Amino acid sequence: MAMHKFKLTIILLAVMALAACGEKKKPADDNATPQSTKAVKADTSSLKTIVFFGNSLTAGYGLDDPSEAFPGVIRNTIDSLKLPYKVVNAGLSGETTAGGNARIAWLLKQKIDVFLLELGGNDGLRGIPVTETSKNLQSIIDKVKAKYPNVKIVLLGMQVPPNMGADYSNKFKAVYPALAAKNNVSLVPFLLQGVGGVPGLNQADGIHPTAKGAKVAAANVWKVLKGIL
Amino acid sequence: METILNITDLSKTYHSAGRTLTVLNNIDFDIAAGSTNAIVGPSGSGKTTLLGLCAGLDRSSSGTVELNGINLSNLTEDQRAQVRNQYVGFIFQNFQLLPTLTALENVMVPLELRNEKNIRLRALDLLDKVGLADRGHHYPSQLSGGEQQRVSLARAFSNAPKILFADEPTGNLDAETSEKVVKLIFDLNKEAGTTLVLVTHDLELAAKTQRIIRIRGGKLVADEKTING
Amino acid sequence: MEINSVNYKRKMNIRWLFNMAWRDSRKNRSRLFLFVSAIVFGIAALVAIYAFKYNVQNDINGQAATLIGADLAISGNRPVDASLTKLLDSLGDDRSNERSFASMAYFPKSKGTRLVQVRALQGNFPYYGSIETTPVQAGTSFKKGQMALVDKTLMLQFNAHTGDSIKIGNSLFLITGVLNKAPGQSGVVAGIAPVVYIPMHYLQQTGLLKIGSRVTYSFYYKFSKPVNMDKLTKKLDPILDKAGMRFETVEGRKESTGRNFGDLSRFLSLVGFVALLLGCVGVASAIHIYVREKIASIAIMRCLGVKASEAFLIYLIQILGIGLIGSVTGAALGTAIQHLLPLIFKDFLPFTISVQISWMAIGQGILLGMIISILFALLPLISVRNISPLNTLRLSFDDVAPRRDPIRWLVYALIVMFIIGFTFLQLDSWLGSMLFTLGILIAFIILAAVASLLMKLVKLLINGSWSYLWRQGFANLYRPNNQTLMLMVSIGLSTMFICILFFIQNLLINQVNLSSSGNQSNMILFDIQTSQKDAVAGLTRKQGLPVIQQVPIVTLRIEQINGKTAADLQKDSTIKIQHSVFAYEYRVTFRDSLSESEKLTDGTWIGKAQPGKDVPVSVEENLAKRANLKPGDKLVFNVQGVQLPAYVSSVRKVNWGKVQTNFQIVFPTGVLEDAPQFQVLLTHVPSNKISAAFQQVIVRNFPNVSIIDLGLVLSVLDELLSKISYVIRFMSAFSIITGIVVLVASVRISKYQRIQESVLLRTLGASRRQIFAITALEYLFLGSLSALTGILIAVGASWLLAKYSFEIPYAVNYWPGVILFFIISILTVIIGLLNSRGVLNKPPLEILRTNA
Repeated sequence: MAMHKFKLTIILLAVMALAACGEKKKPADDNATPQSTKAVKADTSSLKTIVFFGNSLTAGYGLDDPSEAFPGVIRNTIDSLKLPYKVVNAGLSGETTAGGNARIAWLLKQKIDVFLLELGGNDGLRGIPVTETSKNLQSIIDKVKAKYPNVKIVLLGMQVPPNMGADYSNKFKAVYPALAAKNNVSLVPFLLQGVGGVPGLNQADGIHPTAKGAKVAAANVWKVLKGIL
Repeated sequence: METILNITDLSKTYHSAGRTLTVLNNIDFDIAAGSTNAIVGPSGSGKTTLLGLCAGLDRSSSGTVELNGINLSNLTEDQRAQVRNQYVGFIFQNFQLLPTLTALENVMVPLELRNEKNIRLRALDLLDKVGLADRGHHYPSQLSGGEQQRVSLARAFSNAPKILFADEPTGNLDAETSEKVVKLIFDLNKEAGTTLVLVTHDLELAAKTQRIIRIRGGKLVADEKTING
Repeated sequence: MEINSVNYKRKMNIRWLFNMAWRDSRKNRSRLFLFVSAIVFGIAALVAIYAFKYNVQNDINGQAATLIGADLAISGNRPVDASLTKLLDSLGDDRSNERSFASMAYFPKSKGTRLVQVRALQGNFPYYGSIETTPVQAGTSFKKGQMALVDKTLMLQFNAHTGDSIKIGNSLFLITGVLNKAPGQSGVVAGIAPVVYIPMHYLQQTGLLKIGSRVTYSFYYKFSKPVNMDKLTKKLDPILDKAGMRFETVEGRKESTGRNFGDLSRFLSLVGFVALLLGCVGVASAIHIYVREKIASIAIMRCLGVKASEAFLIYLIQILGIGLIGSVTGAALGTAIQHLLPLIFKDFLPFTISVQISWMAIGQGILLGMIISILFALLPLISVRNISPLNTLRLSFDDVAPRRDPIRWLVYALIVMFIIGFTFLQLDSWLGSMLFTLGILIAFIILAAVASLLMKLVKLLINGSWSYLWRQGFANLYRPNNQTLMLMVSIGLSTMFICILFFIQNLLINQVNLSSSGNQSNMILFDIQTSQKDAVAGLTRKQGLPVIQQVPIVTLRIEQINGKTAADLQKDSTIKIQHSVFAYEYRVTFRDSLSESEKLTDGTWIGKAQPGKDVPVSVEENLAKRANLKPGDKLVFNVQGVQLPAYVSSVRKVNWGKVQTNFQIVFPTGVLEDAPQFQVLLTHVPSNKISAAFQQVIVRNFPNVSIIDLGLVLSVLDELLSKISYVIRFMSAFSIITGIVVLVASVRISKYQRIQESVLLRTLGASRRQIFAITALEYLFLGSLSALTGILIAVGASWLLAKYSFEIPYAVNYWPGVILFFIISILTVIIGLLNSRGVLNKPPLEILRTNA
């Protein structure tokens, strides 16, 4: 059971240039086509909107093309099935649940039909108390539901790597099923099931999935999502 | 009589600030070997310049100086230096002892230059002749003017010169000391058979030589034998 | 007839030349001593400074090694396979292993849980520096059992003490020591989670290493013999890269640690150069005056038949002897100073300077002393060839050397080449050496020009209406046999060096202080939500801590540059934009003004956006290069779904060397205020105790806020910086003092120039006061004018150095310059008066006799 370190603080610190500490990180050397985060307020056609709200796993950090991240894979699936859905990637590298909780209002300006919530990984890696993570996720769900009562929510489960200690990782792992049950939303038990720990599916940094890994993750999500669509 | 010094048509001019100053003008005379001679004239008449040219200390503007048959005009300064070392002795108005050498060492220098033997003994002998045998280890500054001039006399005779040039030898001495020094010069001269050329404005001193050459304004105005001649 | 018996080719009697050289030196040893002492001081200064320099360089390099604690460190995120293990085990002479990972540690006593960075260590790492703990022995003894070293702040945070236990994974460890400082702290990772050291032996039983665990595998190497690291790492690089591993060397760390190492080595080069020239001034002025005094003797010798070449050699031999004695004595004195000084100041030094005899410094010193002696003796000595023996008949010492003596120019060329050569030994750059030498040449010319101008001016100005003392004092400046040029140059140059060192030291210390954490942020709070912004800042201030910076951060991407998208880029290879420009998620901020660490290089800064128009943004230099951007270029940003048309209004240069937030793109106010954002707050915590308390308060009130405590990391760096700053201060203070000593010595050797006249005046009945006044006036005028000229040149020179060599802003405090002016002027007068004191205390005749 593996879990990856997401877009962590390193990214943040790269921007802050802690050269004095010998830390000088270059921006990610991925070359990519523009991120296909569709303009939220664009396009008011008959298509329904699926929003992927998450961190670097959603944003596709480190991939040649951010559209290779798992939301992109799912969009391709939806397109090939000609389902009337438009995919919005609202992933943000380094995002924590607290950040998501603050940012969600910006996204809710636009109508959302399906909401996939992929957050908490960064919380876990920073050792933020699980109660805090749980509280923030709950708040995000509440806000989305309040604005769009008919929205369908999918909660994407996370786990922290075993080195964090059994006690913490067990508590952390339990947050998602508990929230899903409480709010009666769909749950993908673990987004990176079958990806973590498999060398070929992870980038050189050992943190983020490769395009291939993203496909596995997308399959995990699709298993749950296809029933909703 | 054999000629030791032959001056032919000697002139010396200085160029200064675009003006030409003629110090010596077409001087001609011979000096016989073993003779005593005085060059007299008022201050600024050119007698010191003449002495310098005769001794090969300077180059003439025109004319020749032949010392012991050697034309000095054709020699380099270093060659003239060796001629001086071999044939010429000097006595100066202001003694010109090497201040950093003892009296004895001052006397030794010309001998050493000629790589002679028994230098120390001979120098001591010379110092003894001028009555300074016991002052050999003294530095010039520790000697009186008369003593310094006697050392310089000993030095002048140390290389058994064929010709001795004396530039106002008593100019810096009191009457009594002068008398002693002059007596020494003539005595040593007689003993060694050296030719003496004396530059002075002291007619009394000049009268002690055999011949007086008078100079005025750079020109030879008179050349006469004294009662000694 | 013996007409042709003149032996023109008389052989040179070398022994006699030596004999004469020796004889000539005996008379008036005290005088000779004075000259030799000037050489001694010059060379002592040089040797001591060089020796300190070499030692200090070694020390600092040694200290730099503590930054990683080993000669080479290799790390990666994956376990290494067998073939790589073989390679890794073949490196170095001593090896250590470390595995580090994040984990939640539990303190049973206080029942607290916190994210820590566990480091499991095996081997003798660190090889440089030590794991500093309380108690001291814990740093090594913890490896002997199931024991742990715990970060000091963490201990305070959970009120833990040595003897308590800490639970890592499934195992309990006895806390045997408090971790104060450890080498090899790699910045941020150590910052975000406090460090806990455990022995590798007990790692497995914690149960934390399972499939999927995020672990960093590190290998530390020590090389007993010096190894060409560049070559080694070049060879290793492709292999390690393939295995996804990184390496780090001391040199590499030094480079990334910032500019201070570079500044230090540039400064030491400068000091070396100054020492070289101080040596030159000391030796040259002594030799110059010494030889000048010998001209009369040389004329007499010529009269007696000594050849020019012989006279030349006699004095060359003598100078060689003097130079050798002076240089060897100077080298000995310099080495003695180098050994004694640290002993004397032991109690004041924040650290020990190692004192090893530097044969390199001694060798250079002696060689230098000899060469300078010869070269500067050559200048007056070559004119010996032209000294007419006629000078014995006339007491005139007009300039006998024809102005255009080609050999003279050859000697000048030799001196310049010599200075360039030795400067190269210090600077290691031919261009730099030439520029430095050119600079000195210009300084020299300025000083010489001022001197000759002064002489002309004084000559013009002096008139009968002045009082006698003034006339006499000033006339001394231009009369024959004056010392104006000599003293102007030596005082002026020495003052210039002293002043330059003062200024540059000042500038560098400011730079170092800027980088040291004393004035910089050492704690970073991030992920502060906008709603928490004021509360967190308020809480920080309530704890008595400064809010050094608080900035909003918005994440966005670049979608178009001048209408081109990433898709266009792939189609058209002629577009000069790097791919990564479009892939990168930019963290930007918005504000109405530039920060201290930013400087515009192009365009204009616009602090406020006009509603409804394109947004003027400022981009950082390097990004501008990568994206081929210049002011006026159009951009379209994607701010988390919202397209935002903008244009480049300015390009900025950013100083990345400080712990603070810097940005590749800065927006004006009035656009991003409502965009999703979080805040970063930077503060400075003065101690671990306060840090612990502050962290507790923040975690309790704002559990989502993450804290990076750079205290531990920065303290290692701080120690280094304080050492660097100390070294800079020490070296400049030492060089300045030796500079003054050399200056004093070179003024002191002018002692005999004025003796004759002073005695004469004394004989004529001049009072003590009158002679003092005349001397004082001459020296005051010389001292003040040359000091002033020197200081002015120093201002210009240090500006140039700051701008082009050190590349730091020129903000100098001029007061030391003003004070230096008065000190040098007064010092010159005092030495001048001391010089004439001898004349006043003895009967005139005695002086005339001993110094005739």
